[in-house]
Amino acid sequence: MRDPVGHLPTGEGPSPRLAALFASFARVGGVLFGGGYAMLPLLEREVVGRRRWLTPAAMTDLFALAQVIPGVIAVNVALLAGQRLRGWRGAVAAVLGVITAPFVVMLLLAGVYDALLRHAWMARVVAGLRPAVAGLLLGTAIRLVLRNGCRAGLWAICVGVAGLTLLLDLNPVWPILAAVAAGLAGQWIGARRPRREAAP
Amino acid sequence: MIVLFELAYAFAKIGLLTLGGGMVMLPLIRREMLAHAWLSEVQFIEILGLSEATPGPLAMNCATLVGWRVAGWPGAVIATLSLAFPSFVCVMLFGMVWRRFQHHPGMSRILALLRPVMAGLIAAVALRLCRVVLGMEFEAGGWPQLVHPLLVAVAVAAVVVHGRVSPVLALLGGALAGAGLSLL
Repeated sequence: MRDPVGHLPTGEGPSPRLAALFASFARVGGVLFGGGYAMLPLLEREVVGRRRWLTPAAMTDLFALAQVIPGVIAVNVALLAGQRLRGWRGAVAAVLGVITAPFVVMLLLAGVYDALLRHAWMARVVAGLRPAVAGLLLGTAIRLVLRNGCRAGLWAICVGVAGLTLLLDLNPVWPILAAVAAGLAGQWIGARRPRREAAP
Repeated sequence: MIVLFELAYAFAKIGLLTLGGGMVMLPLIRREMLAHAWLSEVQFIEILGLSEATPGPLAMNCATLVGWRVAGWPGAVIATLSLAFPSFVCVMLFGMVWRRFQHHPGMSRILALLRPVMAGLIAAVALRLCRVVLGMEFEAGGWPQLVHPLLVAVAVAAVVVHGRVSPVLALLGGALAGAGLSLL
């Protein structure tokens, strides 16, 4: 039961201790601005780059799965990664880690937040933060596409999904479910036809 | 005591009924907060702004703050954990079901298709955020007002693509640079 999402490519490192899992996700939660999507580059830095618990591809896959589970994306990513690495105890450690810093900061601010929002310097930092978050997401998307290699088909999917989402104000769940359906259909068609080349 | 159950139920419902996170959750959170009179419309908008400036997703911050306002720190703990609880159950069930398919060759096909989809979704969120930010600046001061936020966004994106600097530093550096530029 240690590895329920074991179809994903594995990280090469040893399995982490629960305290380390908590600490890593607390670190990510403490600097998570701008919602779930901004979490990916932070996690790649911490969990993929620093700790080497997961491969970049495994992280992207967990992130995609997190979109089709109900609830807050950041919480889902923490739960999936924690469970992937250390079962249900890992899931609990990771999710407690990711919510700790926002929880503490919010409680500290709860008493003074009305006054705080009216401060001019606060407004300036928030105004500066918004384009920075936009840039962070843009850079992340470019990195994701570059990692895929420069194949035209992948670019087309990427641009098509972005265009449809923007034009139709699409719920992100639909493109993800469409990719799952297309993958299943491709598998079914491939299984009915004789193989032209051996699978790698 | 009863209010704790109300908090738990309301936030578990928000956690269970929203798929896709982020913007998808906003309407449901707003409706629950107004229906229980836990927040006013204006307070809801202020929390939106505040959760941009503080770490953590909007729904989480909302749960903590509202729980604290309604029932002190037990309320904050219960509301926050209730929001995460349905996800926990789903991840556990999901893991058990999907274990059977872990070596199915269709899996790698699906995941290969999901990666460019994720890149597209993240790009769409980034572009939409750019549009909102630049739209606000444009309304405030026309074209010249757009220069600084564009500079910040492009600089942060370039740093992230380059990949040597921690995204946290890029983010905070961008925010401070934006605040500094606005003083000029």
